[in-house]
Amino acid sequence: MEEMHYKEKISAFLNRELSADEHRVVGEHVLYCSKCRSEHDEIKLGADFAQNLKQASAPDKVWKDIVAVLDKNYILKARPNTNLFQWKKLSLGFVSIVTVLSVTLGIYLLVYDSAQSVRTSKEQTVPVAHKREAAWKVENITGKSKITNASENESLKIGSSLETDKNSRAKIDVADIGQVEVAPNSLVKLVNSTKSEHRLSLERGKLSALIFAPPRLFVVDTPSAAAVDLGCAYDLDVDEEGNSKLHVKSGYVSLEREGLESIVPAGAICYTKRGHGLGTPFSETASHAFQNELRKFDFHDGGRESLIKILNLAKPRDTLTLWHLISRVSKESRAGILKKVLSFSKLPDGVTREGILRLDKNMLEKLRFELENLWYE
Amino acid sequence: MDQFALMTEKMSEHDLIEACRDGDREAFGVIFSRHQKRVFSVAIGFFGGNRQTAEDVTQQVFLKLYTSITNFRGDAKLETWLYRITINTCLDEQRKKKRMAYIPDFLGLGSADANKTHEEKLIMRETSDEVRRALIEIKPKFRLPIVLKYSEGLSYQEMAEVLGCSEGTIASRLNRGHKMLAKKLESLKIDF
Repeated sequence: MEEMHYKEKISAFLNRELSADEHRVVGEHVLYCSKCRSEHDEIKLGADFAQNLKQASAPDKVWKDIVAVLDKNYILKARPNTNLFQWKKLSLGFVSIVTVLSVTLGIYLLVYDSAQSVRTSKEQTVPVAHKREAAWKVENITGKSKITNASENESLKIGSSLETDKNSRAKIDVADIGQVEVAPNSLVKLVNSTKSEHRLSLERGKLSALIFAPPRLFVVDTPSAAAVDLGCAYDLDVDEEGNSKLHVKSGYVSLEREGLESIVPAGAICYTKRGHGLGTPFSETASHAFQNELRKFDFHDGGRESLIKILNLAKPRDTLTLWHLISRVSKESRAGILKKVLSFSKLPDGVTREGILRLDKNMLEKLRFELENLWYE
Repeated sequence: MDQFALMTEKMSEHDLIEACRDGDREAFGVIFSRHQKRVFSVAIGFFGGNRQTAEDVTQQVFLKLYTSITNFRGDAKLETWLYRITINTCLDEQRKKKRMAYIPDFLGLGSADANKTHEEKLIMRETSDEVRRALIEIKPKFRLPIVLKYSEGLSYQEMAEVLGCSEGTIASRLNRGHKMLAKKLESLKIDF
């Protein structure tokens, strides 16, 4: 009978993550099994070193810097003479007034007034950051941009457009979640601004977005795709024909059109072409030859010939592109792409070749996570 | 952060989040006070002891937290959410700095046990620095469980929740991570 080993459980054993029975079994086994004891000793040495990791405090300057950034960006307005305890006092006072004064009708009127007063007070002190303003502040960086259908204070409101000429450049505050800089010769339109979605349309030109928000809260439409922010900084160009180029500087952006999606991470570029849809993302460090073949494949019917060249030219960083191509080609071609991917990386635990070939969503996600290590090396 | 001390004792996390949603900077300051060690420690562990990068990451994490706190639904604990933001920010930052060498610094970390002698603290800090420097050479997927386990004291279940994988995966990554760390630090074995 084959002997049972517990190598996979050694860390859990040392970290006391096993049940009492399991802990005893593994402990006894390690005593007499030289293979598992050797594994145990090696892992224990690493664990002993790791025990030296301690928590550390951030210096005070970090908080000061945070406050400075908030002040500078008007993300958060300080509320002078207001703190949580005052709010609590207000609430308690309000409850007391309601209880005592509701005995008589005359006093009821007084309570009603107080309630109005408390509500008004609260509304006045709610900071700008948490009112989902439908008017976005615009600041001219150079020259003078033109806003059509502007709100009274020259802000962008839903339905208004901002246009820059060759000499002007403007900055837009995207509600309270970030900023967009609009380059010269650009036209943007504010499509929507609600708690669950802030949406711009870039008709032509270029914008640079810096967004601090949960994924999918900020979207920029272009004539050929929608750029959905997944928490990031990026540049987006749209030419006169409505084709676009997305270059992600930090985080991730999802380019979407008609159910197709390209996930573009930091350091990657993705083109879209009007009438052809989404291109395949590629690393900004990909060779020119690789980029040219990819463009042929995506937009000029390069077909199998281009795909073979792409595979021959691919380097480990290009697994970003290959991962996307897996789900965009026929099953026969898929196998070839996967073979190339596996020449750079192994399949992660729980992922099978068959699963990838039948486009199992979870397995594809795990594979992407594994390949990300190659994209940034 | 002394000005927040009294509030730290009295406010529940739920109250603080609600107040923070209403834009209360003091409430946000209390959340920062309560959680800054977690965020900074994960960042400094992730970046091999580089304090400057850890400070930048800590700042980014709390700005992201503030701007997105209205969307915090309370399905997970705030600290789980914060760990996730921290890890994503660390990975982002690593991408940005992918071609830069990390230069860990040797300045004080302000976390040594108060009962230890000065000499013991120095030895401990140096070993801690060595461990952090060794960790930077290990891939993030093996590095992160080690940081979360030993710096933060998270259980396998908590780590699985933060990292979005199974407890079995955590156990397996820790096995490999421990061995990699042992190999990189073998030369310290005698001193250690």
